[in-house]
Amino acid sequence: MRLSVKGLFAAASMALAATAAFGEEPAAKTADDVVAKFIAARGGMEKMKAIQSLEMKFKANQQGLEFPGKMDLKRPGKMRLEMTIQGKTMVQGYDGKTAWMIMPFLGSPDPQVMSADEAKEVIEQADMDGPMVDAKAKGNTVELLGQEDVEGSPAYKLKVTLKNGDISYAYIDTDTGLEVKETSKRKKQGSEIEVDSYFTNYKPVNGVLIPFTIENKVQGKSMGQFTVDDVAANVPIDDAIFSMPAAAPKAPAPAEKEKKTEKDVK
Amino acid sequence: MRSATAWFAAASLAAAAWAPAAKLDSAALAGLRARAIGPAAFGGRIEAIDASGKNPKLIYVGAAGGGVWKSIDGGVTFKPVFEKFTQSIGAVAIDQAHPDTVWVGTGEGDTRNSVSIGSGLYKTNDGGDDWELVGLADSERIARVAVDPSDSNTVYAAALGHLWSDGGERGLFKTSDGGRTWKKVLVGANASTGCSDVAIDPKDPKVLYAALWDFRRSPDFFRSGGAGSGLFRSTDGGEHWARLRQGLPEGELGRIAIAVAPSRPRTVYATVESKKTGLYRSDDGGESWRLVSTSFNVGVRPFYFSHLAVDPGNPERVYKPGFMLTVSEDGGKSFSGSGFNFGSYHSDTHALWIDPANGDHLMLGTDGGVYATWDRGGHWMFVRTLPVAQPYRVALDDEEPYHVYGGFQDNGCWYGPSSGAGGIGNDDWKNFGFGDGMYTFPDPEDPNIIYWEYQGGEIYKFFKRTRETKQIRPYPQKGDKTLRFNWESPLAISPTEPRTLYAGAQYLFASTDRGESWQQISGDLTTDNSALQRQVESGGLTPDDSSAENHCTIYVIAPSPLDQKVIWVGTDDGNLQVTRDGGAHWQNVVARVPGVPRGTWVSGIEASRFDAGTAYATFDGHARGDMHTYVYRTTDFGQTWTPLATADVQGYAHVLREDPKSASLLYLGTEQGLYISIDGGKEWAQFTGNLPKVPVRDIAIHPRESDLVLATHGRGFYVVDDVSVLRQLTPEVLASEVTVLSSRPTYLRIPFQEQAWNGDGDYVGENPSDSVVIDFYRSKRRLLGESRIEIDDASGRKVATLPGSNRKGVNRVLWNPHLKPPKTAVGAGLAVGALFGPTAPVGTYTVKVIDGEKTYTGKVTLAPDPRLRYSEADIAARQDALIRLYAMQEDLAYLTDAVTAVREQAEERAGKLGRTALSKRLRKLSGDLDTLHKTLVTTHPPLEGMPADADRQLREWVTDLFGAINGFGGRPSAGQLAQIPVLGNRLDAARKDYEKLVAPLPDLNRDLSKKSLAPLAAPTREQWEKQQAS
Repeated sequence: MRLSVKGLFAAASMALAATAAFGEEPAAKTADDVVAKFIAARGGMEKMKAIQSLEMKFKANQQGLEFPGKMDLKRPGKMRLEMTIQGKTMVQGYDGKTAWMIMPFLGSPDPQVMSADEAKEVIEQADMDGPMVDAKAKGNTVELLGQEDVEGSPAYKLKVTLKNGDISYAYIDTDTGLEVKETSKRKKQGSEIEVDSYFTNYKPVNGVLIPFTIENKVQGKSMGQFTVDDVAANVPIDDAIFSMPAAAPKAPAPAEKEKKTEKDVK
Repeated sequence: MRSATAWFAAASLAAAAWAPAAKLDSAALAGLRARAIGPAAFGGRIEAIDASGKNPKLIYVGAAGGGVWKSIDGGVTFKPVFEKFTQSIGAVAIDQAHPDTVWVGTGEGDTRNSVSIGSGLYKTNDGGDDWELVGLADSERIARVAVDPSDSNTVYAAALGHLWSDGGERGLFKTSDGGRTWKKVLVGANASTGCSDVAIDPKDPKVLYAALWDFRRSPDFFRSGGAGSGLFRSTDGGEHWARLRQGLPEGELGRIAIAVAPSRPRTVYATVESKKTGLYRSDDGGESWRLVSTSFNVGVRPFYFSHLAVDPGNPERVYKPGFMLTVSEDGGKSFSGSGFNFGSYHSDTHALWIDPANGDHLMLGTDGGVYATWDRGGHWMFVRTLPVAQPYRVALDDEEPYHVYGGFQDNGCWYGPSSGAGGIGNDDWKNFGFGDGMYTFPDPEDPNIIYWEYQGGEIYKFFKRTRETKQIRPYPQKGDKTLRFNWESPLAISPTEPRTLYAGAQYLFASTDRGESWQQISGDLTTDNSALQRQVESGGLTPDDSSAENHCTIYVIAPSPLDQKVIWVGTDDGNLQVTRDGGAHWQNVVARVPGVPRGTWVSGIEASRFDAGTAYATFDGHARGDMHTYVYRTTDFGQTWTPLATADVQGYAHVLREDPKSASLLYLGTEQGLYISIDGGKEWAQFTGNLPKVPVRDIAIHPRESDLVLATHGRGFYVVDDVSVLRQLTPEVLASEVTVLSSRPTYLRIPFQEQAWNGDGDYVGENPSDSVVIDFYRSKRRLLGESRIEIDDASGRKVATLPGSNRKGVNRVLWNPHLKPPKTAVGAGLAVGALFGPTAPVGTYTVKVIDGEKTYTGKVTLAPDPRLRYSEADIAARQDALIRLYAMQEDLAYLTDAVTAVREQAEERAGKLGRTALSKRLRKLSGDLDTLHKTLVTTHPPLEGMPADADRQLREWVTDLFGAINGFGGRPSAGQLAQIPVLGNRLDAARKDYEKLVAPLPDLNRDLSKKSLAPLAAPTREQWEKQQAS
């Protein structure tokens, strides 16, 4: 599952600046130009950084199944993701230190620390602005590789090398400056998985454009779609929800009886 | 400095002011994604293999027509990394000092008749994500690339140059700056000579060996060898060269392959083609040579088997990939017989990689794919994940699912299904022919018979049931010693008389009894130019009579679908013949085709389905060095012709097919890909949706499914599902912002999940989607604002909402036809049966593409699977059962939540009260509710996420029954139907138990309020529904 908000694009009020000149923007020459265009398309750094937290409700569609989910993001670099199936909730969280998860379907309600490989993805998602913003400070590098067609329209292709060595490619629509696609290569257990994420249905949230639909594809085949139903920015979120909780408390009375039953079964 | 707001405003204004140009372009088509179906049960020709010496799990494979494939797991899985560039590969070299840097020379170097053309030398610095063309764009083919082991910026490329004409970049090229600039360091003596091999002394990289090769191919002839060939050495990194002669054969030489012994570089081996081809050996760094072997595999087809290798640790162990892989253990004196373990790997071997750290580990590239061994060739493992097959032709049957038939370069003939369980696996493909498979198709009336042939007119029929093969070729009659059949000799079935077959040599033959007997129905339809009939002499220094240069032959037969007496014939020497009386009279109309040089090969003819006088012809001059695209149409039986190729079309043309339903919709296959025209050939757009840059040799359109099936010479078969949308792309549609198009009906199918855990080492071809396909056209990418798709049933009730699709051009969205899953009671473990909602009822649905305020509507149809003849009553019984069980699941979910809520509240209040009579009453209630709860859902610890089997409660029974009935398309069993009321009664009883237990709540609540505690209350159904929806 991957719901990235790395396309927090700045919004720009529709009503404004209708008189602004357009059509004469020179082609971006460098990676910095494209990233600047991309940040500008998001509404500029100021509005982006003004968003301190985000609470997003979404639906995940995977091969005909639909699950509701929720993602909380808070600066600096905290995230929590929930997806609910038949009343049971899967949780992934990161508080800036520990990436953890709860996978109740596998029988354990207890939180587990994520493996380093799995954690990478969560830590990346916790970066609200995405790896291209403040790249240098984050230890990431961004290179412009040229232009490429994405779904029938031209896009700038940027190569983003994360501090940890993982590589992704960001495709920025030459027309709007919005990110239309990201290809990320993840190394997992000595293997490499390449996922293409497509971003559409951009809508403004506190003046910042957010893609309300993300579709993930592997080798051109859809692996799942995430559709945002509702977003609230800058609502207070308790820091505690990002930290790994203690083991699940056992329900009082019934637990006692369950023990008995277990014995009975044995 | 522009502000963000300006950007946004600019974008939206630009969108508003956008004026559509109603022209079909590639972008408009790319949303129709071609799916690759393999096969990979066998491979295609492999030209290059390289791996990292430090990390042999990193492997690159270059296929003759199938691009570059990368493995990072030692060859278990491969992925294509060169999709945007020509798929014809001659050389691959990893920079061993920096394995993320890889050089790819395009254009196959083993110059058989069917090779494609390259587009230069490419380099990646990031393991294949991004490639840059670094030079030699006009070399056409590059046989070898060698990286200086001491300097990554110094690289040598052996450029062969043009195969069918003088010119192009030929010779040995060197860069010293990582590919930015190139210098030609070794040049041939004439315009037909190129560089065929280069080898570097690993200990002294200034010492180089290079081979020049004088060669030329034409439609009727191949010459290997000439004045330009020779073996050369440089000792100063290519600045100066000396021709090596001492001990080498006198006179004209042909192709030479070179190998330096890595462990003793003064020892150098070379196979030298001459009047007496053999393996030569030097032990003084090339100064002098001696002949050590003329054994079969050393000398066989030097132009085709051009690779030589020495064991990394043992200078006396020499490998020669040839007809089979052969090895010498004694420095070339003796070679293993016809190869080792004959038969377990495909013959015709071209590439060999030897693990530098482990000489027992080899990888071999053959005409049939890649093999690996870990015991030095004792046993081989076939790599089953490389879909690089090279079909010449494709045909389809009308089974459900239909099958795809084809003949393959050096891999016989095969057929496989267009969809399979979980995908189209290697084992789904069935072989029935051998040799170089050409035309292959099923008998239209007898599904037991498949007609097939191998090169040079060897025609057979195959009986599927008994797997018998019967030869049915025509034989020479009176006067003729032999018949002249093309390498790819044509075989056709009459579209109007399904028992009539046509075969073409220099004459046209017809059979009306399924090939049991043949009648000659024409004279010699070719030019019969004796100067162009030199097959016997073909080959150059080494005779090579494989029928590949058979000339003055019929190449195309196209009987009219409208008039049995109209037959078109095209020949490889440029005649375009038509008869209108079943063969009594023929007219050669080629002189009436404007702009085609005389004698140009007729590559394809399509006789129109819509008008008997209309036909399309393609011509292909590439084997005479003419790379133009020639495409024409006549509407008057060939008296006049209109050219259809435009500047948008690239590559010499192989085939044109007319759409079966729309006369203006044309499909064109060229050496550079697939092109589509929606206006009868006025404008063409290249199709790029998931299709690599691969030659399209043949095209078939399935009349029932409207699928476009492509035979690509290097990547097997591709299917573009349901091209009926293309028939709807009128100028009005192209000018519209959004138009919902109608797609073919989707059959309601419940996919079968096969139990097959075969690991990752098998290729799986992609299935068509089981989902309902929604197609719509969008004139411009839409990124901003709400966009969604809603689906309403016939009564107008919304049954699904999907995220919008926003690409430019045709958008293809999938709706998995299930209604919302039921709300399910929370219990231990997943209730798998309730994950999916009921399948949507068959019928017509309204599609709404909603872009903000605008709504565009259309229809899709979900139809019953025609193979399943369930009565309406059966389907209604299933639907009714599902509705009842659906309602029961939601009732049970509510009841369970109510029980849990009251129980938890009672516990909580009791906890606050301490030991009192009231708390005792509350605990009693809680205990009773808990007992009830345990009958509603399982509470045992789940096993691997699933409910414990011995603790099935009401939820598990209901959801299982729901899932089981939902998983079959017909009438539920009597047992299943009888079970519904049984479970219904249990649910009613549970509800009554609950009501009984909560009957004392008013009393309890009164007492609770006296203690200032909140009353116990379950949510009402209404409240609960609201809560569930949020």
